[in-house]
Amino acid sequence: MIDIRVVDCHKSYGQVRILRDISLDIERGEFIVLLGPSGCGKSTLLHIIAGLEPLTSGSIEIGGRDVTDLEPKDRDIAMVFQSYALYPTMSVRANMEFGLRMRGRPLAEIRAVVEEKAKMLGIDHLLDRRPSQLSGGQRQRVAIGRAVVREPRVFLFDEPLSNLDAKLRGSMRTEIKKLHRRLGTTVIYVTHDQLEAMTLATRLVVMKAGVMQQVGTPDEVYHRPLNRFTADFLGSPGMNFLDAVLRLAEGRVWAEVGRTVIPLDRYAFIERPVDGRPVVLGLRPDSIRPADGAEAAFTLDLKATLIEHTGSENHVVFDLDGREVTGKFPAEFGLEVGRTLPVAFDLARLSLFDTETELRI
Amino acid sequence: MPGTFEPLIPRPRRRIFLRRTERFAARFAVYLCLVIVTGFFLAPLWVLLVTSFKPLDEIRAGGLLDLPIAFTLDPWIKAWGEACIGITCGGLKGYFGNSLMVTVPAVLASVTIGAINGYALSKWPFPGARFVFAAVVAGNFIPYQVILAPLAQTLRITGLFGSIEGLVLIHAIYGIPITTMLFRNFFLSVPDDLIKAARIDGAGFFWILFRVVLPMSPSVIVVAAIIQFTGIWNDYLFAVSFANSQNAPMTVALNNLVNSNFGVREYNVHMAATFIAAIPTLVIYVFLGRFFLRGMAAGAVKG
Repeated sequence: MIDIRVVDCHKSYGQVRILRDISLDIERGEFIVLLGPSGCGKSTLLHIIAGLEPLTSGSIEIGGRDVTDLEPKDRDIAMVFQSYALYPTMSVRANMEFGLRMRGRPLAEIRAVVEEKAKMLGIDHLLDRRPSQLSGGQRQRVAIGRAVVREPRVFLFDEPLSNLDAKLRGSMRTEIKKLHRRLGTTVIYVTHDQLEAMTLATRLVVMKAGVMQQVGTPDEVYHRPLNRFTADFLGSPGMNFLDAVLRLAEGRVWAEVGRTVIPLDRYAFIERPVDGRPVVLGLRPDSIRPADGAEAAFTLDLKATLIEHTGSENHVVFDLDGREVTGKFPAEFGLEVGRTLPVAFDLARLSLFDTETELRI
Repeated sequence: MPGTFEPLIPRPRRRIFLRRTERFAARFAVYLCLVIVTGFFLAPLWVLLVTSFKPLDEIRAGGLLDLPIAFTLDPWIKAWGEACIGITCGGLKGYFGNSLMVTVPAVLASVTIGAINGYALSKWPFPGARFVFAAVVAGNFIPYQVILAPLAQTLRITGLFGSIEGLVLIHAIYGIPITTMLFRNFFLSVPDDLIKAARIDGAGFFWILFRVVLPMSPSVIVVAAIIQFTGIWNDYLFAVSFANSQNAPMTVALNNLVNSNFGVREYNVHMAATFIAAIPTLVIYVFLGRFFLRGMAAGAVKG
């Protein structure tokens, strides 16, 4: 069942076009993450869905209802802000009660719901405090609590974890995921943090300059990026991009990278390969590993030129005919700069892009 | 300086001692200055007070700054209830009431409307909001002399000329530019996310103003109220131009009392009357002054 439908949504401020041609169907219970660099329009899209900003053209449906011209309060949504946006002069309890009071629910019911949700979020001991007396993590929890008490059809999260320190961000991320699993409510979540996006999303929407680049499960987007931007934006260290030329020989397709020739038997071409076509070959560092000899993988002897230790793994830069290629090696793999060793390439996970359009081919 | 650093050698004890006395001397100089300035500004008030408790012959004997020898409350009683103003001899008490009836509603109206305007201009931007704000700011710079004649005309047409209601209307309207500006500038510092959160929670324009925004803004409310109260209470020009004699506020009555040309000049009564006229503004400053300073400081930083 489709819960939210965004149809041909455009947004401009004067001459500046913020969003172009956004169309998106969201199923009930999905966790949609809008991901992109700052200024890509992801927050604007969220605000439009919330009804806080008008569209230039297009329409929004929530729960089968056209809500394009409805006020935020009539859209059956709740939102959590990056700045928490707690009412500073009210207690935590009053903050959580505010939305229900505005809707004129009976006081006894409000009290009960707030108590219950506060207990669920582990903030019931904070109910009589002011927001200024809370830590960042507690404030975020209250902000989520304020959204949860209303039991809305959709939760909107606008970079909710960006103001927290790294450790707290990790644990709050897990909690949001658990919360989504427990409540089963549809979520739209905006972030520029790819780790949050990959771990939380059931589907990911990658955006750039107001245009949707790709919609898919985190796995799809990570392993089958539809264009070079998406490929580059996800993953750390970033994907290796190598200029190559397609070759058709002996009934097989090859990619020629300098003097090295890589077989593309396992690549699912979208377009029919043409001999001599210049392409960009993309390989994730995760697909470049030490060869263990047993597998029938594609192997090259390469020289290590730089090693970065991250603790859990090493990022090793190799020289491939004068081009740099980064691979992820286990930390316990003994290696020093300058050594040449056999390196295995997982060619099932490779991507090819057009040099001009940068689209997957 | 990059690349160089001072070696960490402890300074001799003596230096520290010297620095301490220097600092003490500086502090002393500052306080001395403050005491002198305070004395300078308080001196008229002192003269006012001591004179108001002296009988007339003691005043004629001189000794402007001296305490009263034969302490008397008569001048106060006379100023409040018996002094002749114009042709009636009922003291200031009626005019004090007039002033309150002009000032209180006008302050409430101009502060309330200013808050709503400032909130709309800063948090609910509409096309042309900048122009409207610029026009409101320009309203602060209109000299009152320019508008006296048109105002008189307007009041005559509406039938409010000479009445207290007319003065309330004028003061309320001419307070709006400054209060709008104060509130608008203060509300700029209220995060937009709060407004958005409240909208999603289901609160409308006025609910958000009264439940979320105004509770965050006691200092600016006090600043606006003080500015308006003192301005309207102390106004003479509008009062003398538009109020008839029985609706005149304190300022006009005080002037009539002090400048009357009959009989002896009762300085003690004049002083008492002046002090009575100043009491409400003094009280307001004493009780709300702390908020006033805080509000002014906040405005100064956020501008």
